[in-house]
Amino acid sequence: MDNTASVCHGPSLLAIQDVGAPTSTLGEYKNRADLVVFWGSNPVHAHPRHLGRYSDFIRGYFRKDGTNDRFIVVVDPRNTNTAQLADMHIQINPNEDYELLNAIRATLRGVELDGDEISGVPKKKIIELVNALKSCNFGVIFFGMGLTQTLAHHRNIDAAICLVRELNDHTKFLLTPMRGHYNVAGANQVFTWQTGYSYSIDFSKGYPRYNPGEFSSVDLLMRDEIDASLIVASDPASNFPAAAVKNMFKHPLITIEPHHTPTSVNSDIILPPAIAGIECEGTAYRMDSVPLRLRKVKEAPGKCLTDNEILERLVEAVKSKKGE
Amino acid sequence: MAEVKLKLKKKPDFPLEAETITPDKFAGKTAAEIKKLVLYHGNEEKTIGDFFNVTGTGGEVSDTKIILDGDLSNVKRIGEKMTGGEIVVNGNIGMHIGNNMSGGKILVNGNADDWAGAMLKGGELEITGDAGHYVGAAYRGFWKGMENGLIKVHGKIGNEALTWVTGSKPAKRFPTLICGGAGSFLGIHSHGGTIIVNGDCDRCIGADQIRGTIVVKGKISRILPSYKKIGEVKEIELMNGEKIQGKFIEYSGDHSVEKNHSKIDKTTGKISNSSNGRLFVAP
Repeated sequence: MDNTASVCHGPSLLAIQDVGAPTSTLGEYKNRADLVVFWGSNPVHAHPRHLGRYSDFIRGYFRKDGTNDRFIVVVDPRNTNTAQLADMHIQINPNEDYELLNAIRATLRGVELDGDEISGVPKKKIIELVNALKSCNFGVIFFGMGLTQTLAHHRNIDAAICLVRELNDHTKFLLTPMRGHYNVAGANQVFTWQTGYSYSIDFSKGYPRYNPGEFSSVDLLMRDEIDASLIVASDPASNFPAAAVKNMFKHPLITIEPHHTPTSVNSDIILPPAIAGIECEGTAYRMDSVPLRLRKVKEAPGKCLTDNEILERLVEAVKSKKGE
Repeated sequence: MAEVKLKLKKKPDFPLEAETITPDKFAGKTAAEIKKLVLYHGNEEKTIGDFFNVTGTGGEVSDTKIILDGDLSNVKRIGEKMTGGEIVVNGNIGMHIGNNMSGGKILVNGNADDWAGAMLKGGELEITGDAGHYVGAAYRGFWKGMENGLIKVHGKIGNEALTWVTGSKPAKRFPTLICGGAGSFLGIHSHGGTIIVNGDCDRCIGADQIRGTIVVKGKISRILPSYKKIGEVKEIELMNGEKIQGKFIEYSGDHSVEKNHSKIDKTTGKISNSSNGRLFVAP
């Protein structure tokens, strides 16, 4: 059993399990943050409402002047639209985030760095950035795929979390992952309170075991260790490596999916559910793990069942087949 | 020595979880009894007899030697938590070989997959070929990785070997890894590990190292910016007192970590003389 975190913010979860995470809800950032770092994320395109509602333009209780009260730092190899909005853009070499985080941490501890340039960033600029990080009242790092899915994956987050921990010696600092896929945070929450683990869970021995790399879906598919798959509301065929997708299509594939996607059109069986938040009620989790209630707007077409009903009926059918 | 020979009949379709193949479980059992020990194949409970031809009988734990033949690249967890005895694997082996073992010896005449010797507490693991990622590493979320023992890999190893390794001079625990070459993030979050690499390494070696010694006899693709160069040395003293001769460039670090044992004095700017937190690279 796995969820989309394993090709998205799974590395963040691994790092959090290693070194913890100082985080908060988005409302805190809206009302208090005066320094916002976007590291490897481009909210202008990927999270279009984020800047306006929580992190930049919005006026908060202690940030009455909205964007003028905030200092925005963007760390990105590309000059993205978010970078063009920023007060400071750190243009870093691709895949060298770990070295830069490491250099920032060392500079923060008062260590004189040996080289003149680290990861394509001049030493002067690193010192400037460290001064900005130290002198704010309430800072936050938002990090995206640019940090979790470049080389070093979870070790980047590990270093970022350690940096935030150390920045709290000087000022208040927090960090939040920019979760992408719809309700992936919810999947992690539910998996965790049901099994104890957030993703990459194996039940072959009858009890949950956790080990990304061994039980994660991409690795299982790459090694061709499965003989059937059930996909609920996600689209691995357009996100997984081609070799993994090929192995998935070799075996029986069942999808519970209302849309036309590369996965659903190639499935052996499609079970179209009602769409949560439109055709039925439901709960979705925001990127900061705040559950939000979704209301029903209109009736589902035909005899569409909800995801919940489909899965419950499947469980009943499996139980009766196994004679339990 | 009481020898038990196991020959794989046919490579299993799904990974076979074989944590029962240890001298501890085989001790004092006849071939027929060993054949009845449980293995997991996918979600089915099987026995050793279903997959292996078994000959020989087990003796005392420390006196039992298990010899495995065949393509075992799909067989996981052999030698898990073993406390003594010996295992010899002739061929490639799957994941988690000898994880959590606290005594005895494992020799793999072939390649090993990921998590070889993970969280070793003692004993010796030798691999004549290459090994995968996370050699001797801590499992996800554990703050203590390998605590004692020796891992020897003749070939190359993957990324993130020996994460969260914890050694201690007063308690005489010297977790050691010797390998022919390594990937990136070797010994990350090390708390007193000894790592000797006879070949080249990838980036970020010794990241977040608090204590420990890393010796690289080849090249490192990129040294972390938080490591400070000290100078050249002709002899290295390891944590366990052994010495390595040869010309090396000495670095101290990792200075991005608060608790690192090679602190820089704030008034004089000098790096403390402690032998901990060191990286030695051949010039």
